[in-house]
Amino acid sequence: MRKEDFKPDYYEILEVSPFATQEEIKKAYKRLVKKYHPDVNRAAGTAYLFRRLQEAYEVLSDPQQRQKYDEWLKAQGSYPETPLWMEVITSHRVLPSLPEPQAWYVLIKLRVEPRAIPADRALNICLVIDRSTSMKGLGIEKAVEAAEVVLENLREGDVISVVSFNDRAQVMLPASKKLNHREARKKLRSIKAEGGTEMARGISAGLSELMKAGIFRTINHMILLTDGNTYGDEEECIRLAEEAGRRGIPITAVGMGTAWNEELLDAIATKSGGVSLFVIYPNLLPSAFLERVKALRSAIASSLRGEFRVMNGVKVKGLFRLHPGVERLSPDRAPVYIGPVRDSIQLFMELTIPPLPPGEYEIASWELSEPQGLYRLNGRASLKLAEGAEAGEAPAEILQAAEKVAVFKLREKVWDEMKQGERERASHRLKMLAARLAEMGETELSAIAGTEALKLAQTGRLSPEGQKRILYGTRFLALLPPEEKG
Amino acid sequence: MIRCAHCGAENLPNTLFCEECAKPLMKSQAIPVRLVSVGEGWEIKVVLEDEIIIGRQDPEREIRPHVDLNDYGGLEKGISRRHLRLFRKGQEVFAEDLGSVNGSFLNNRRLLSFVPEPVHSGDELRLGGEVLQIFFEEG
Ligand SMILES: [Zn+2]
Repeated sequence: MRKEDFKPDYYEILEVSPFATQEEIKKAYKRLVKKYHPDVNRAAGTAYLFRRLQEAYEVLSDPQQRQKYDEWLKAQGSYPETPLWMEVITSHRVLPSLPEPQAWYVLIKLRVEPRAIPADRALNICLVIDRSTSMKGLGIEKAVEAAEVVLENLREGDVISVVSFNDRAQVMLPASKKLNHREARKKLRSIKAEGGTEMARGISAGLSELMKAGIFRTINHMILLTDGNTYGDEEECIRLAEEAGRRGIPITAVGMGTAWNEELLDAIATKSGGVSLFVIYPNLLPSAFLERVKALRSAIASSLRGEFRVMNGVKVKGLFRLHPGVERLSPDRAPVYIGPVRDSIQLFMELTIPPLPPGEYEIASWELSEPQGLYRLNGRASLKLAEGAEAGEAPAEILQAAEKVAVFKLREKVWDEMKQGERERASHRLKMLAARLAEMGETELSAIAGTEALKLAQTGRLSPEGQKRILYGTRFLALLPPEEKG
Repeated sequence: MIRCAHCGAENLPNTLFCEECAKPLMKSQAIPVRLVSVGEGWEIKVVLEDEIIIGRQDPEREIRPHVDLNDYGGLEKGISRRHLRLFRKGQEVFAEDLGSVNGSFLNNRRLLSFVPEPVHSGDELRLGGEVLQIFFEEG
């Protein structure tokens, strides 16, 4: 055996996954160096481990050396095939066995190996644009500009289609791969804003364009833009969103201005596995569209579906998706749609554990799968209950997630109380939300919430702009920057 | 049940944030922080409960950072009144530059203003012209 035929498992030495980012490798090394430094740890064999650690870090911290090492691993057959990786973090591994119910939390993080994204994975995108009368002027102008920005950022093999709608739908650009950009631009610029709004027609036409292009092994997505209420076809919109979800086509629902129906756009987003976005000024549309398209580029599949089960007697208080904004998923309606398969996916579960005797319990389990059967992941979370155990401190990542979700839920309660006409309570709670936001360093949002709380006490409602800003501001709280991608 | 100290609501044991007011319920252990000047050798010890602001006191503008570097030549070293914030999530500590004029550096990398980054014991923080090594234990 030649010398280079034997190499130790550097990933195992550093206690990281082969999909770890450079940042994670650095962190792991720092932690282990402290543990194995010969000055600190004099146990037998430590010096050897310390040398191995240095060696592992030297290789894995250098992208070129790491790539060579990975290739060697692959040749040995010991590099994991799946580009998907799941990390499960719970608030506590051990809790005391109590005579009363208690709270427990689970964070599920999904990782995608960036090097595993097939280079030929193409996008299949349909833009569905509102062209009712209210879009006249800057609205339609910027919507067209946003569509053009998307066209400019297409790659070989991508498919694009554009649908516009008022009280009827019109296919402006039928789904196609090879696009004559000049012709396309001319078509887009011919869109005139006039007439009413019947969104279901737009969604329906958009879905058929997406299907026409063929949805297997492409990243399928609809971006829906509206600035107002749709008339009488809300249920049809939701039904179509559900259908889109089943087919693995998430819908990004973009509301422009302040006059649109937030509940409807939210329902369309959650039922299809998409996201709803708030764009207050038309000039922000091109960058919002571009950002979505860029996010889709890092996806390895269109959509992820989840099915969750819990042990008898355990209650799911809430299931949330944390990225890009906090969204509540309903766990009792199986399956739930989670969105494009990217590595920023984080799911957070709040559970109530019933009184149970000491023991080890599998509290929750789930299956995440991709509707076309490309990927499948199974996970579970277990908890040990022990007599007189002390609940330690929850990990930082759980605290961060729980903090975001707590703000989201507080805002939800304000909306509920407002809807029930409980003006005083809603206003009081909105003040608490303002205080909490101030503590978290969200001064601007806190100020808006404070002003709106007064308005709410006086008039029983919020200003349309304030309402949207609070709703989306509390969802998209960036307490910490997203993790560095390796 | 556990009672929220802020709003009085009853929550299930081990709930992390109050269901009624969203305030943190689990009071976590404070972290002892030692800041050692690499150039001059002096050190400052503080306890990190929720956050620590490092800067220069300015009573006129009612700016009172937890760590006041006026006595250590902070003005000459280009330290802003509110320069850097240390805060924590559980037992993890983060540093955030508060838009200081001369910037903050973590292990020789400049921090983007108002973008927190995790800090570990033994890391080097540079605030303007002052280099501090940070430790999370009592020295
Ligand atoms: Zn409370």
